[in-house]
Order: sequence, then structure tokens, then C-alpha cells
Amino acid sequence: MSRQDQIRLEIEEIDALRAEIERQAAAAAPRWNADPEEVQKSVARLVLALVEFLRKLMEKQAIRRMEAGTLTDDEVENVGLALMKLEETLHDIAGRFGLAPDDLNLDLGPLGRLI
Amino acid sequence: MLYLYAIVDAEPADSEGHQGQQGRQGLQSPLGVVVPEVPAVPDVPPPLPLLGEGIAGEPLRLVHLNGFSAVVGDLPDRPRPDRESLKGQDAVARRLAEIFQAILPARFGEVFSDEAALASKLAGREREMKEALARVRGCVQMTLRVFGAPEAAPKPETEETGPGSRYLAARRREAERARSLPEIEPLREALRPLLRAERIERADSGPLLGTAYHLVLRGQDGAYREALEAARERIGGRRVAATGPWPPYAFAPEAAS
Repeated sequence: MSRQDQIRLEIEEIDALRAEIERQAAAAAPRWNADPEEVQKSVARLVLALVEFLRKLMEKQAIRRMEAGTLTDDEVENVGLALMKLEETLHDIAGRFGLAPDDLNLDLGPLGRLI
Repeated sequence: MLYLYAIVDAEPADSEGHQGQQGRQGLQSPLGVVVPEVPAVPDVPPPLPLLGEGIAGEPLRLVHLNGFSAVVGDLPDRPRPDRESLKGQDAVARRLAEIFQAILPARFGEVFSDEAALASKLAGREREMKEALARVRGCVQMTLRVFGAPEAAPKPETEETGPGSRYLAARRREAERARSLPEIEPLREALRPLLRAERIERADSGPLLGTAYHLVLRGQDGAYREALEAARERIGGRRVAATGPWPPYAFAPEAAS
């Protein structure tokens, strides 16, 4: 590898690390906001995040069972449809509170992201 | 308070001088290949002074748990994550990796009120810890960061019927893609004879395509770099940066961190 390629790689590596640090900093725990509308939004975010967490767990379990061949084709279809509609519903409710799908993945500090 | 540096395999040899089972049998690596056992190296815990000092100059000691041990130091407060402490912790992990055949470095900032709290945190996860220790035994970590254009995701198969089946199949493909880097497959093929285990994290966006963490036997990092250089041009102009050898940070289970 030439010296120029090596320097280019080092720059790209530093850029990638910077992006990761910025992502982590942006996900820092929010401060308490006494605005009533913000309180509603915070509660909605927490509740929806928990429901999304459970939905993801069910989805993983469904995929595991699908891979293991312990679900019939009809069961795969029904479970997939239910999970899909649940996801749509969650995103729809989240949107009414001004929340993006990414907001439903709570940062639990030292424990990492919820999902 | 107790500061955790690492989980290590420091079981004393039994009366006949046998080591624990981990080093004696072949291992099923995540690549699906049964790899041979690591050449036997005495794994008797060293005399305590050899453990050295921690990041605040405190003497390190072993806490024996159920089937493995923890290397800890006693600190008055949780250390601040500054440059000096982070470098200090890495230096401790590297030193411990020289002492012990199997080490799982802890994440920075893991504190416990006392030994009972540490034992409680790890209770019930003995099997997981022993498997992780067996995996890293005699190995170091090499880290490959891959930059460049992503390969298009493969087109979905059309055999699924309804929307529910297609939805689940798509989620399955996404999960598989998050753990794979098909862009460097020729490189992985060249490195495979040297790999004891592999973990891949695909990046979501940006020039960084992803990171591959590789476990290789100690002393084989030179051969790893040679194989990498020989195969570097086979990945369609994408760039890879290799660093290491490191203690096996990426192969330590969350429980140890």
C-alpha cells in the first residue's frame, strides 16, 4: 500500500470515529423539560418504545421459528402480517407526537440502546 | 469500590496437573469450522505481584468466581473517562493478556460495591463466560475497518407468497446483512485459514462500510497482515485498515462489561 493510500485510510478512519462520537453525543440523555406538551411527548415516547421493544422481541422469535421450520406457511403469513401492522400502527401513533421511528430506540446510558 | 479490569481463566490446575476443559477440546467457531485446540501453555495463575497495578496505581488482585476469575482493583471513586485513564486501562488489559491465556477485557468504568455485588452480577452466566474464555484462549484480536462503496443488497427471492411472509423474510435478510460484509468476501477467504472466530458489524452509513473483528492465534498477526496485503486488491477498490494485535475486546460478552 502506498504512503498516500495509507494517509487516506487514516483520514477515513478518523472521520468514522468522529462520526461515531458525534452519534453518541447526540444520543445523550435529554434534560427534564417542564413544558406540558413535552411531558406528553416524553411519556408517549417511553410507552411506545417499550411496545416497540416487545414487538422486536416477537419478531426475532418469529424469525427464529421460521428458520427452524416450526411454523407452517399460514402461520408465517399471519404472524408476519400482525407484526407488520403493529409496526405501522406504532409509527403512526409516534408520528402524531412528532416522534420518528429512531426515537423509539431509547438510550439507556451505560446499558446501551434498548433495541 | 471494586473496579473490574477483566475476566480471566485462572483456574488452578488439578492435583494431576490437568488444565480446565476449555483448552483441551476443539472449538466450534462462528465460521462453522471446528478448530484444533491451542497448544498447551501452563495456565497456572501467576504470583500476585505479577498482576501489577491498575489505572490509579492500585494493586490488582484476583477474585475467584465459579469456574473463572476476575481481575479487580480497589478505587475510591469511579474513574473519569479521560485520555490518561483510557490509555491506562488498555495498558492493563494488554499486560493481563500477556499473563493469562484467556482474557475478556471489561468495558471502561465497570465498578461494583464489593465482591458480593460482582459475583451477583455474573451469577448464572458461568457457562457463557466459560465459552467466551474458551473462544479467546491463546488468541489476539485483529480489527479490519472497511471503507468504500456498499454492494447492492441481493434481490429478494420471490417464493414467499403473502405480504406477511415477505415482511418476515425482509426482516431476516436485514438482520443477516447487518452481520455480514459480502464486499470483502475474497479477503475473508484469504484470511480464513488464520481465523479462530469472526464478528462483523456493518455500519449504517458513511464511508465506513463496517468492521470485521478477527481472532487469530498469538504470534500469527504477522501472517495475518501478509495474507491481507496479498489479497488487498481483490475487493473492488475498497480500502481496509488493519489494526492489532489487541486484547480480544470485541469478543468479551456484555456480562463482562
